[in-house]
Amino acid sequence: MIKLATFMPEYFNNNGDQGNIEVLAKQLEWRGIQHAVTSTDFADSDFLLVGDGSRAVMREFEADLAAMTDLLQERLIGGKATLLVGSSHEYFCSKLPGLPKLKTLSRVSEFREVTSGGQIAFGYRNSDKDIDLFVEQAFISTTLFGPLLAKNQNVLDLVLSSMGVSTQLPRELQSKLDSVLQAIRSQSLAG
Amino acid sequence: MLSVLAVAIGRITRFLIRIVRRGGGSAFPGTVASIIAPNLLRDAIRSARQGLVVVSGSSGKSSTTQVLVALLRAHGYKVFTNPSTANIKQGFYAAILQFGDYRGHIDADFVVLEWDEGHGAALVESLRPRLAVLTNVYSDQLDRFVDPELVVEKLKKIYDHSDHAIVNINDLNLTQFADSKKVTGFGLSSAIEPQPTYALNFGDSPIIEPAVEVVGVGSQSVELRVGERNLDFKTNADAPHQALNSAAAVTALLKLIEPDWELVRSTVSALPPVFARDEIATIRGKEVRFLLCLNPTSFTHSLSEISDQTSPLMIMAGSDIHDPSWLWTVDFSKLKQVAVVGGRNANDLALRLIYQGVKVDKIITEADKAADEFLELNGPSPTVLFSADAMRRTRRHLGLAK
Repeated sequence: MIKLATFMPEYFNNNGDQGNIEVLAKQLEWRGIQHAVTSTDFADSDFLLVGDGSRAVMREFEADLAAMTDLLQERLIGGKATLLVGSSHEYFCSKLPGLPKLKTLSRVSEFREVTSGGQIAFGYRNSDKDIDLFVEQAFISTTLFGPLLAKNQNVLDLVLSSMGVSTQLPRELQSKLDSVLQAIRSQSLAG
Repeated sequence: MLSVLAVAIGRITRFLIRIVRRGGGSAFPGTVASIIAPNLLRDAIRSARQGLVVVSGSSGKSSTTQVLVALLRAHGYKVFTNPSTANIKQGFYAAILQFGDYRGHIDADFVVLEWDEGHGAALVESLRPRLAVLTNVYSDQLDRFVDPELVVEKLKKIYDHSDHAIVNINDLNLTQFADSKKVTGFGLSSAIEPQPTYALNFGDSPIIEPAVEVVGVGSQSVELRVGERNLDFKTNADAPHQALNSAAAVTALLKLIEPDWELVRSTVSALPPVFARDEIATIRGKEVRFLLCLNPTSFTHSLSEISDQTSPLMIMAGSDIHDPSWLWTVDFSKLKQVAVVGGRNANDLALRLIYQGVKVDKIITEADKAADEFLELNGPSPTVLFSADAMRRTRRHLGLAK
């Protein structure tokens, strides 16, 4: 049983970040792999998502986020599949040794392709920070919000592989997804 | 002199654009006019006898404006307004080109403008509205506004520079900055479900009593309580968030004039829907249902309004959805099949649908081709859900544009 964990999904879902959990759940369902999604039990989870929260949410749940620091430090050291997005990326980059220290620049809002840890990721960034993506093994921290795993097959494969998933999707389904992804990427980056 | 020149050149520009593109060409002529005569808008508004009323907020601006304008006109007032969705600076100037005289002056008692939050905040200091109607703050358009708190800042600026405000008392994002001496409230009874989901706010909950409250919504009917009076009317804008728009308009009317309540009832009951806010139109011999989806709330509502057996169904995501990530906050899982996914962001929408287990037949990014393909399909309940840009393009292509 694969355990997918997500931190306070009702609050940390700006721009559809919780879609990343849906993507993993569906990918596992398509492969017939048993899985469960939890928002309360983070220990030993195969994947952990902390999505983007509004300023009000970040103030309200600052203590709860801080309480996640040790767990996330362990996951970073172990390279376990983890995704921090947006304001959570910024928050934990200021807390976790091993994550980059971010500099504040002018805000840029655009679709962008970025690289880190041998991975290329594409998505929409709306940030005033200098580092859009950090990847170490399967630990990912990024400004690219929304359904990152849906739009980046290589990053999705990295996460699935780290969870021990090695089977492929039916060819027809994968082909349809590839076709849609190619169209999204070329159109978005063309502006 | 500059105003006369701006109006003349703006109108010529508009005429030329419309020769090339039917139904298009309102923003650019407005821009041209605003460059030539920056005070054109201010002077036009000052020529109105009873001042400026603005409607702003994340959602509900068009509908609230439409109802308020209709109510004022029914009471015999001349009203100048901007066309639905032309709610940014260029749109205001374009409206003057279209409806003003050769100097840009308007023959109106009231000016009632639908204001985009960002553009309104930039204009409010120079225009000083008599009344601002503030509808709500949603966690919406974050690719543009970054955070709901920045939307609150813009609406607060509009509030600060208006003489009086009509405020949704259910939305803490608005009531927290509202001084009870300067506001009149409208709201939705807590007994009504579903309540709209406003941008998350964990702060204080100031209590403002509503002057107008939505106390009932039914199938094509809404009931408001106005003081000791109950006011019911027929409308197909009968969802709670839509009923709030009517309540906002009636509250504004109450602040502006002495209403004739029978006239209010009959006027609201007779209002046609704002185009595509759940409208049925006959296109190429087929009755097609159109539902406009501007944000997660209206998308979710539109999905709740259609059957999971709707066929054929087309959903369109146009270029107004700058970053389509928010489509992942909408639950499409009730759908079994979508015949055509259309619009510039069709592939993003299709990806979302595929991951929710919805069968997608065709993906067509060009709105005109998507509409043509869709209209070729047979089925008992042709239905289109579309975003604002996709709506405009489809409308133009199908000859529905004015």
